[in-house]
Amino acid sequence: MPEDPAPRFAPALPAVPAGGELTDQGAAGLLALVLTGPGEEDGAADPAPPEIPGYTLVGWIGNGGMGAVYRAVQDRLGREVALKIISPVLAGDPAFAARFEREARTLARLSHPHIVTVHDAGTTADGRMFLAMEWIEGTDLARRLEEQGPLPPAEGLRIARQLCEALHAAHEVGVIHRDVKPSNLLLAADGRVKLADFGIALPVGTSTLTLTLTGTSLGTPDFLPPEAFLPGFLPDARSDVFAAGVTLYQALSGRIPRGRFPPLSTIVRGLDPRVDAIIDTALAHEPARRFPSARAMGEAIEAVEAPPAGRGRGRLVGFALLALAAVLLVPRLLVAKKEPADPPPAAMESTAVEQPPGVWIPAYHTARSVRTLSPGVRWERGWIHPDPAAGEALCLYLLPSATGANWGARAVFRWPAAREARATVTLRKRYHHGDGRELSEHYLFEVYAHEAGFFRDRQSPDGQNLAIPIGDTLPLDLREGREVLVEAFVIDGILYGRVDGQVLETPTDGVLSHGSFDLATYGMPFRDLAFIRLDGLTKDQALKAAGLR
Amino acid sequence: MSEAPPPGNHRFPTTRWTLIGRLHDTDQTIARRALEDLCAQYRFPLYCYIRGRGLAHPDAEDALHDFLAKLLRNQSFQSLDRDKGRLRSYLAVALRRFLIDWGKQHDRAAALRQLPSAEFEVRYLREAGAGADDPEILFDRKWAHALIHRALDTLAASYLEKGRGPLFEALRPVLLAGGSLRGEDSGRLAAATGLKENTLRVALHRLLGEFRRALEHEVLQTVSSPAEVQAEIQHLMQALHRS
Repeated sequence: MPEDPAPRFAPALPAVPAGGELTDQGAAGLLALVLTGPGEEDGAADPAPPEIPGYTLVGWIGNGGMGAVYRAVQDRLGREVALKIISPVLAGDPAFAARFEREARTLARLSHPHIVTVHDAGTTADGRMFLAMEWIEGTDLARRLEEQGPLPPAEGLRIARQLCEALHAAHEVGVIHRDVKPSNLLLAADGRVKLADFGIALPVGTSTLTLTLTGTSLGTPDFLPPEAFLPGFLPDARSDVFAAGVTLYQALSGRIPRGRFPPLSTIVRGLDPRVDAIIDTALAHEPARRFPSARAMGEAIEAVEAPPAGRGRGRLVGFALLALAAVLLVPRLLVAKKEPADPPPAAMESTAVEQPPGVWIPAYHTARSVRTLSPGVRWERGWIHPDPAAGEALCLYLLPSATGANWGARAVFRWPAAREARATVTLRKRYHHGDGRELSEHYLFEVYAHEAGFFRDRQSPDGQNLAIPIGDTLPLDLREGREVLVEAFVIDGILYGRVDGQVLETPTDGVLSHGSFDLATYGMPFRDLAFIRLDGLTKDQALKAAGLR
Repeated sequence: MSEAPPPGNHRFPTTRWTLIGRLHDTDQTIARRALEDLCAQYRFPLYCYIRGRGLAHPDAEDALHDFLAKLLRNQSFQSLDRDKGRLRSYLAVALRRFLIDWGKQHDRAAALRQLPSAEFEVRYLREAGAGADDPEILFDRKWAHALIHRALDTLAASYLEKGRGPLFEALRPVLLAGGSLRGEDSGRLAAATGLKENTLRVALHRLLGEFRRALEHEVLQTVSSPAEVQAEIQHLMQALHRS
């Protein structure tokens, strides 16, 4: 430890404002200190930056999943490195320490031109763990997309292919990345792609239990395959293939493929339509229908990239054809929008008719049934348009005569422009009496343009309603005109919400065990309303009927 | 610190003693007092959030009052997950939804009164800082400020008690600017405190260590387990950096 504990590096901070007020930058600097430095007061003698013997810190880059990342110089070799340091507090937590060590070991096993190289790793005398990685001059794909918009097709394909090569190398030594996304793809100044942040990578077959117990979220929702939301999910190469597909789609279009996303070739001018087949295969709902390996995906991309006289043409075209064949056999994610004709007159209305459990029962799907619903709606080629003058909230009681424990309901909404637009599915609505008054209480799945989540809404004895969130929320980005399928289920005390292909799962807080349900729209056009009874099924059967397993 | 941790060597108090733990307490007196603490400590971030949603000052105060009153009446914290909840995001989500309905329930007169709110909002956002167009981020920033101020107040009290109040006051501006001596005239600071420059650095270093523990303690009040403290601090840091 040097005698003079003067900081050799500090995050760039403004001079102290005259008024001595806390600024956002000051606050950020203090929080950075709390995360990464200083050590215990009798430990490290350096107040601002952590001290890693053998390295001189020259800049603070940012905070990653579990520690701060600094730009540093390795004193002995004079080479620049990216130094990732976790705070002693975390290093003392066995789960964090295990993850960090795993990252170090994982990366050390991988030597590949498209994977960030690890030079050194260790623990300092005062308990700080660090990882010295290859310094990449450049940017990352997320920032690049933010600054310059979608990539030209040739560049996007090249980056995706190099990503596939990196993933294949990792998979070959039994490592699944699990967090493939644009911000983890570094773009070196010379154009090369480097896959970084194996912080949550883990060897094939390792249980995720020890990690999830720490409460650390794994993966980024938009890049997680559908099966990741099911209990007992064990990631494999195909999870990374799925994320690579999302990354490719985003790189070429600037959009994240959610729900019924449009084929890339319809939104990217001049794109080879074979890329649509690659995306569809990579994003297949069933893992078994995806590319069997990252290499297969890389080769399919290469086939599209290659000029007609390119090397290995026959083999590559063969792969591309295979990919196409796979797509033709798979029920496509991109469901063609068909105008629904008026369904048969025996349509279910809102009156409850006993139906076997596990079957979707359509409701309000004829002009006639819609007219019985309310004078304030208009039927237009399958869409039900609430009349704004008739009140903003339109509630549809789907099964009013009985209450149950396990249900589901769904509808397709056409997203409006209003900032506070919301679609709601109520599950388990119950009335009870407090001080002689009838008070209601219910669980809701609510979808907003940027978020979806569960709430429990209850009235206090003086009749005041307050909806309070239960569990996590799901980030969304719903734009005007989008058609959004919203589904909600309650199965054995667990609430499931699915919107835009993403699933949110939250336990109820146990307050309501039975109830009826309804669906509310706040001025949005909607169609394809249906509900499903799940009582009487095993949990497994119910999950299957709901399409959650 | 208003709540003393229980005796023992634990780095963190048990959750029984944190704000979240107390909000869940079956003893209504404890739970109610915890809610009062919550209102006192985080009123300003909540207020900023409401302003960020475009409400002018009188309406923002009314809405905040209604929201807090309902939290109190509806015993809302039973649904805050004791094992993995975070008070900050819980409040932000509940408040956002509350405001949508609150706005709708208020009569046309209120809507008319809010006609100039676009102008007020623009002004408010400008004053609230660049990039504060997202009320959620603004809320998170103010929440971070509230936590830091709480930690600083704790430290100030403890330094005062030890007779070192002037040292703390001399170093407070350094803390407020991020805790680094870079860009500071450390000679002048040393002279002002009557310490040698090296001793001053050691004193600052010690203060930062104490600040860290105080802040972690404050954050722990608002999350449900020590394992979440770091993630919460990182989240707040991101909000502060998004400008």
